Amino acid sequence: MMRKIFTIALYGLKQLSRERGVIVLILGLPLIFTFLVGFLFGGGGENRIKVSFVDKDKSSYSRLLRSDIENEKALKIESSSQSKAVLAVKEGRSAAAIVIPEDFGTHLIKGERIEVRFLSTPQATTYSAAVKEILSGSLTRLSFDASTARLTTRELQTRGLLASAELSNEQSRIFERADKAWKPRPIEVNYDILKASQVRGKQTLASGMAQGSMGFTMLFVMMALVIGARGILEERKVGTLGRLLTTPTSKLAVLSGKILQLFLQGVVQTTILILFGRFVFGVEWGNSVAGVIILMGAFILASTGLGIMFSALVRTPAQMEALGTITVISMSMLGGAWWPIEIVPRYLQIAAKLIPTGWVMDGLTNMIVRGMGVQAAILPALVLLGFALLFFAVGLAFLRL
Amino acid sequence: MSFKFLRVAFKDVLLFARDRQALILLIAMPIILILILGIALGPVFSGAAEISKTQLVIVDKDRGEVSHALIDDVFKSPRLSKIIEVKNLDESQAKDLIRKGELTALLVIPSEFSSRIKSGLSSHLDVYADPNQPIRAGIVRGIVSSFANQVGGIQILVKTALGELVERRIVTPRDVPAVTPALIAVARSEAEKEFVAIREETAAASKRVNAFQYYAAGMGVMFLLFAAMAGAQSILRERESQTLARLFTTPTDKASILAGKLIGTFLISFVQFSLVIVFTSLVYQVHWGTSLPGIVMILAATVFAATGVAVFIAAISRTVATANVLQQFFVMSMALIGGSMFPILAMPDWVKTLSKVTVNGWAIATFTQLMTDSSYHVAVIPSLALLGYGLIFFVIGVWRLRF
Repeated sequence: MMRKIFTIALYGLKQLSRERGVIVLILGLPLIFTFLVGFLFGGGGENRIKVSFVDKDKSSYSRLLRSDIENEKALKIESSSQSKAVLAVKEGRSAAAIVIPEDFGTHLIKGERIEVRFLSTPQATTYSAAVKEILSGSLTRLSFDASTARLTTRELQTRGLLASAELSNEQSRIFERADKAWKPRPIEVNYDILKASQVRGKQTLASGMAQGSMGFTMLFVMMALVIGARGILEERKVGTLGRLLTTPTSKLAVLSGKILQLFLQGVVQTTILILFGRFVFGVEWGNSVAGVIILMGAFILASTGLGIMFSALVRTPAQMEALGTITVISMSMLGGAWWPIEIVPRYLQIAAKLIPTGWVMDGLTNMIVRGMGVQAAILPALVLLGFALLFFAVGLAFLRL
Repeated sequence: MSFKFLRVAFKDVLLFARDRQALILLIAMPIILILILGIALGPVFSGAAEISKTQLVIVDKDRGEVSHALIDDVFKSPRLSKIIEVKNLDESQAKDLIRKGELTALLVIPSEFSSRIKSGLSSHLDVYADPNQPIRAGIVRGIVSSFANQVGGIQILVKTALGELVERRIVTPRDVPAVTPALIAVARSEAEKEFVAIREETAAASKRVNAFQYYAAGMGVMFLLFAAMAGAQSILRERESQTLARLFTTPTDKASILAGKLIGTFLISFVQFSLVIVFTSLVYQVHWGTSLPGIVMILAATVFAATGVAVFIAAISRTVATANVLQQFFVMSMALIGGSMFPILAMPDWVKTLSKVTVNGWAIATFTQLMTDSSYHVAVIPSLALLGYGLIFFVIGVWRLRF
């Protein structure tokens, strides 16, 4: 009996491997998607804050201001005209616009009142506040330099040691001297990056590549299994199932064979996609090998069960394809395959726990991105086995061979 | 002039209307996906999902005047409290959380900070940060640096000025301690003048589309492409099942039949998208814009382009199975690059340029503009581009299509 089951399974797999189009879809598409998403959304976490810089003065002082602000690595400064800058801020492409007025340099040195305009929208509060702090710090530095130059030259002038003709040159020179004195600063700000630990907390989100590899592996494995189960329907339609059943092979053996075929298909597809993810895309699938095996194994079982359940509930392969596609794509989106689940509203994050895909992504993210060990796979795997049991029970109850 | 091609067209449309699977896939599915995407990514589009507050721990070993100024007047000010949350933990706990990614940064103010500053001596402030949160950590560093500049600027002013005066022998090195307090006083009064001010202005953000609107356009167009593909497939299927050859033996000439099939495809796609528009505006309250001519224009052009591409793919495929794979691949890639799945604004500039090669790239950009109540003018150039696009593919496709 066991041998018959295996024969049926392997025969089915051989048929499958001959369909080239299928291979392209179940292996090619997920890899392309992973690559593109990883490439598009790169390092994950945070991009730099974009700031538009409008320099109406174009003096060495305004340039100095700009280079000082540019030193802050969290910002990306872009020069532009005022109208373009305003548009960029309104359309949300820049968090803020800084407008340096004409005669900024001359007023600065003379100690006359200057107004630097700072434009932002109410929607960009978080980022614009940060930019304003950085701007404020740089302006403070420059105004101190200017004050130094002014006071010193005034002192020299009153003592008759400085001719009027030399005034502006001296001021520039002293300005620069004062500016250089900021290294090292009187109050040195030491900035230490603490090396990240292997195990990261729930705040850490997946990078584009990791998200893509986990999400699309899950999506396409599930899709292939649920749609693949239509094979049962097709054979019923074409009648080969009936023919198989007229042989001494029992109904149970035939069905088991098909189920085994699907399971093996899932294992092969998952393995190939994970290996690609690890060795081609550099995603840390290897953080907990045992955990991944346990979790994905349970997932493949649940997906196979889902496919069997659908094949029991619909009548034609075409219906199966439609229902399967909608269900799998919807479940994958709600489960957090296409984007990190942490960015959606709270109630949706809770809803994700009602579907198998939510548990898979949670377990995978904890192991791959957050470095948790095999224990992160236990609860999700148990839940998935529960789902598998439910799907198989309903499917087998309603399946008419 | 025979109108047989119209009959061919209507026959195909009716077949489509009766095909429940097709209806589910091409109309129900985008509607379901728009719902999911609209509610899941809603906060991301409306900006409500702004980065969570920066979590900061401050360990004050000084407890002096200056450190209190830094903590109370700066970090706990109403303005910064909106974006920074100051937590109460000890140094090692804080460092542990930073390593785990649960805390953004730790600020340690050393002991004797205030006394050293008041005596004109130098000091330091230590910031420890999470490497995975460069922006939030950068915010903290910016604030601390700004404060350090404010406090340290006075020292630099005094030191530089003294340096100059000593070099010019106005002040002898021995006089320095006597002169310093006066200089400090002058420096302080200068600093208080604050002659450089930042004038903050708020601008009203221009109208932006919400997630439902964006994905109504994005998914609507993606499934329109699928609809067009399905229509073109019928040509192939009939070729395979030989019914096409049989049709050609009838008095209706090839051209009429082909024209009929194409018009059928065009109609099916048009109806599909129109249904999506109607449903989303009624049920999801999606605002498609105030310019009906604009919407119709871009819709027609998109359907034309989609049909052209569909014919092209049908023409270069030998079997229905090949066509299937090619279509899936083509539509998915276009959908990804053109912005149907992920918002185009979130992508790097080179992708935005590349999206101009896709049908849905042009379509989504135009639809979203119309949604902010732009006039039909914005649809003119994209519609022309799509017409040209569709024409090229169409001509190549028809030329290559072998019966």
